[in-house]
Amino acid sequence: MAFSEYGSFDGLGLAALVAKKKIKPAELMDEAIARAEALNPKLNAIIFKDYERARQLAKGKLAKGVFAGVPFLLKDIAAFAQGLPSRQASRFIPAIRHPRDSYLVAKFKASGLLLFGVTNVPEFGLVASTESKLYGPARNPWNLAHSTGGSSGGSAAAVAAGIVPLAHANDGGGSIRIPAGACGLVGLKPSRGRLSHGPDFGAPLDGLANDLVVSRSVRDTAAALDAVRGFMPGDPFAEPPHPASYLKAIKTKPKRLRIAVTLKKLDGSPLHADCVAAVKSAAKACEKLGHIVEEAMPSLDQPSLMGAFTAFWGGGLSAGIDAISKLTRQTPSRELFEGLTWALYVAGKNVSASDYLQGKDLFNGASREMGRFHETYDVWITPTLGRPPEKNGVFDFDNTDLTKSFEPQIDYVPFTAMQNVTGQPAMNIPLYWNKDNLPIGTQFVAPFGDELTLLKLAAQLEKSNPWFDRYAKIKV
Amino acid sequence: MAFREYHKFDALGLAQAIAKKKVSAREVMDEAIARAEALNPRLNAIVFKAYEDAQRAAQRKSQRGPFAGVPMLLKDMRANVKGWPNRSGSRYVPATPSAFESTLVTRCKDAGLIPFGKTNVPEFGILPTTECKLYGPAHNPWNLAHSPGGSSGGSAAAVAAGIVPIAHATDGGGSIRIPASACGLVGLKVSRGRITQGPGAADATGGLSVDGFVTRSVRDTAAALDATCAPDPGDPYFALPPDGSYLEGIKRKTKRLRIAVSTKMLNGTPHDAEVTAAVRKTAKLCASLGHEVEETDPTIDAGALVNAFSTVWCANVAFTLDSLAAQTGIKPSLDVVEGLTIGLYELGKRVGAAEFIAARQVMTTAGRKFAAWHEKYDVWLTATLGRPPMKLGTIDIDETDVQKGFLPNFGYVPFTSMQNCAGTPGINLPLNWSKEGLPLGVQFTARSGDEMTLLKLAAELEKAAPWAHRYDTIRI
Repeated sequence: MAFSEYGSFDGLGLAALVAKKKIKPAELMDEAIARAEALNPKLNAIIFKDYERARQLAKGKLAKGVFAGVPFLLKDIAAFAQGLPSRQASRFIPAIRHPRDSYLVAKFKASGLLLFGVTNVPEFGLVASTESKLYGPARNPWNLAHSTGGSSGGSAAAVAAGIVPLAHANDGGGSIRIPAGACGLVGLKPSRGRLSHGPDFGAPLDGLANDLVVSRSVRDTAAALDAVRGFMPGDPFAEPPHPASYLKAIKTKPKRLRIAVTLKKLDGSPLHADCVAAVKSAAKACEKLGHIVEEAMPSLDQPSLMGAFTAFWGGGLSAGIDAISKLTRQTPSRELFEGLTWALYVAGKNVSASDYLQGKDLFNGASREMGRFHETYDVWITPTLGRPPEKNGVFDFDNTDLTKSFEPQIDYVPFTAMQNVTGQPAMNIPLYWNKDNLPIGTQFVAPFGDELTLLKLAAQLEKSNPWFDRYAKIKV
Repeated sequence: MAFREYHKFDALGLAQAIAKKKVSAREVMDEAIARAEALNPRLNAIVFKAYEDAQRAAQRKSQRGPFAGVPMLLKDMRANVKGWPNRSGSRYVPATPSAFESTLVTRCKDAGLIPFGKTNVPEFGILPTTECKLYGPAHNPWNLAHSPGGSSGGSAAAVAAGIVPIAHATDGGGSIRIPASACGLVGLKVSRGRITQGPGAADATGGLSVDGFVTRSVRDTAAALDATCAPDPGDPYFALPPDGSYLEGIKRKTKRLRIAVSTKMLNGTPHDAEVTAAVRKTAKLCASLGHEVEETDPTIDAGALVNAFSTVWCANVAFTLDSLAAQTGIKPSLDVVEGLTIGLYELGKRVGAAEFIAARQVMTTAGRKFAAWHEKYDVWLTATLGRPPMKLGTIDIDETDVQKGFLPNFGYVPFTSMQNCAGTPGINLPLNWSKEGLPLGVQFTARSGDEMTLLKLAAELEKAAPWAHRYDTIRI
């Protein structure tokens, strides 16, 4: 049986239908798979299918979580699930099925989500677009010529197109927020330590990266955070304070917030007019809700921070590739990687631990500056991207000259890496579409540990400036 | 007026005497300074004096906080005070006045503590003894020929000798617990993230090092932790929030604990016989209090962990000296740093970022193993030092061959660095003394974030086997 209204529900909405026995989980799964089969040839969002197991799972006994029976997709990076490969879009990583679930995947499953596939990413999730040699590009449901953003672009495309209401994503430099920005979704990067990356990892990218989902509704993100948050024994550091339930807490509106908005890049240079318009409209919406909004910007030395950030990524990438190399007994060489990856690997090999620690010292300076900034402002609004979503093919990711392949992205996504540096929570909220009907995302940043303020404000904005109806207009 | 009973009080006791106006804060400060002047020529515990500042602070009418009016000392590492130098025991660090105050120092002051000087350390806090070229050695009050341990040896000597009841200390490989053991004090190494290191530092020594205190009484440690443990908004991560006030917590009886006890090193090497006997005696004491004690070791690849620790440690020495080179324009050499430091620096310079990251991954893996083991055991009891406190001069700080230079450390500090790797808490308690009258500390460690269990157990043991009277026997 086809369930034509599938796309008009968010994850919790679908779970409610299941709970009320208005629909069977197996029917939901059939619908999700039918949609995947119909749309994926155009979107290339899903790169590994696990349909048969998913159909069996949907027929069996469900976990009793908030998302019981809801179809779900995992990103091809850092979410180890029993029986599924995780290749980071790299030919260097064999398609080995993982023997066990990571804590995160186990928690997703315990919330009732049913996995039926893995989503597209760029190689090692290094870039702000989802284009790889291994899988080919994912396409933006709002306009197939455009990029989905990255690195969680496959997940974002699948959610925007209505294949699933929410999908796993992770973010080491903006990779949840950028595709959420480009595909018009809710995308929250939680605070460092909010959830566990165990048992395989401690703090991925030394605390830069974190996981959660991209979703269509704020409450789905809140419920997902409830489902997966929490310290696990052996984690290198702990979880910041949290409410008993984010989902319940967002029903109360936030206090009157003091909000800073930024209409320029961090170095003071101008932003794309669409991004300025998006931030201005978000500011206006916040003011209408009674919040105090003023133009202000923290003092962050972006060039030196990005230098250290790139060294971190390079160091992390070289450690990762060397570890895979040991496990698989392959020798890394240029032809096995895309140009950008190879160049970053080689550059990473040359980063000394001393330089790396120097970078950490710079990061501390940025964190302290943000700590001071947030003594005045509860929330900081920036655009998520520096300009509207680019077309696929615009970036030259196969170029080993990092000034041509990696660095152009800094101008494209000029803000998001800062929150990976500081470990703060940051969230894309889809509030604006440009005249070409492309989503122009707005990023909301809160003090370390304060996802609650972001989610409350997002819920308030979702009510005052709803976006959910827009998804129905997507014609892939 | 001299306050002759000064040294018989712990910090909370002094605060109480001041609050009850039995003595004034100024009189207390004068007594602390008098004792410092009398004893320091023999102890060399204090390396920077700020008597007038402190006397002025003690004179103020309104003394507030749980430690109102209590004199304290700060270690010559991290705890920055505006206008005071902070040299980490190194000639290489210019004696320039600090431009800022550490948040921890502000919190100590807010709690009523009045710092009046800085305490001796080995160069960059690298050694388990307090001997450096800049300041010369600190001496152990129990026997001046012996080392007070390190690296917080100046602080420990000052507290044991009754110059102050509490002093700041830091611990990156045991540097709170080792001097606490050698000087017969309470020394708690907190969980990673428990005490802010801002604004100057964060995640110090690659996440190994934390700040804290050495004290004579358990309640002083508990109260000091209460006063300083709030997360700072600019911190890179937080520790698990405490379950209420520690000072209140230790008044409650501890539940029946499952305590694992190791009576030898994890590689099977025995400790000094007196140390082994001390650990056994403490195990018996715990059993007599109703706890379930079992002689068993965690299965940890201690060799791999020590290597990982050394990698991160050396990389940090490289980072520290590289930063100083950039700051001073002087290249690191034997002219400005000690032989052992240069040896570690050269090793550290060879560490790449990827190797550093891989070493941290080894620590994470060990942390997971410890956590799994702690599901069975609430507390792990070990020796703090494998031998009684070493004599001064045992370690040759001029030795540039690190292998040779560190030889005296093998078997001397068999456990303490593991908690730095795992980010877990550990406490030294002064429960045993050697035939020669030297303190033989024991260490209790617990799950990440569970300082409360350690402090409650410590308070119970302090009651069952009190040690406060022993300080009266010290003759310097």
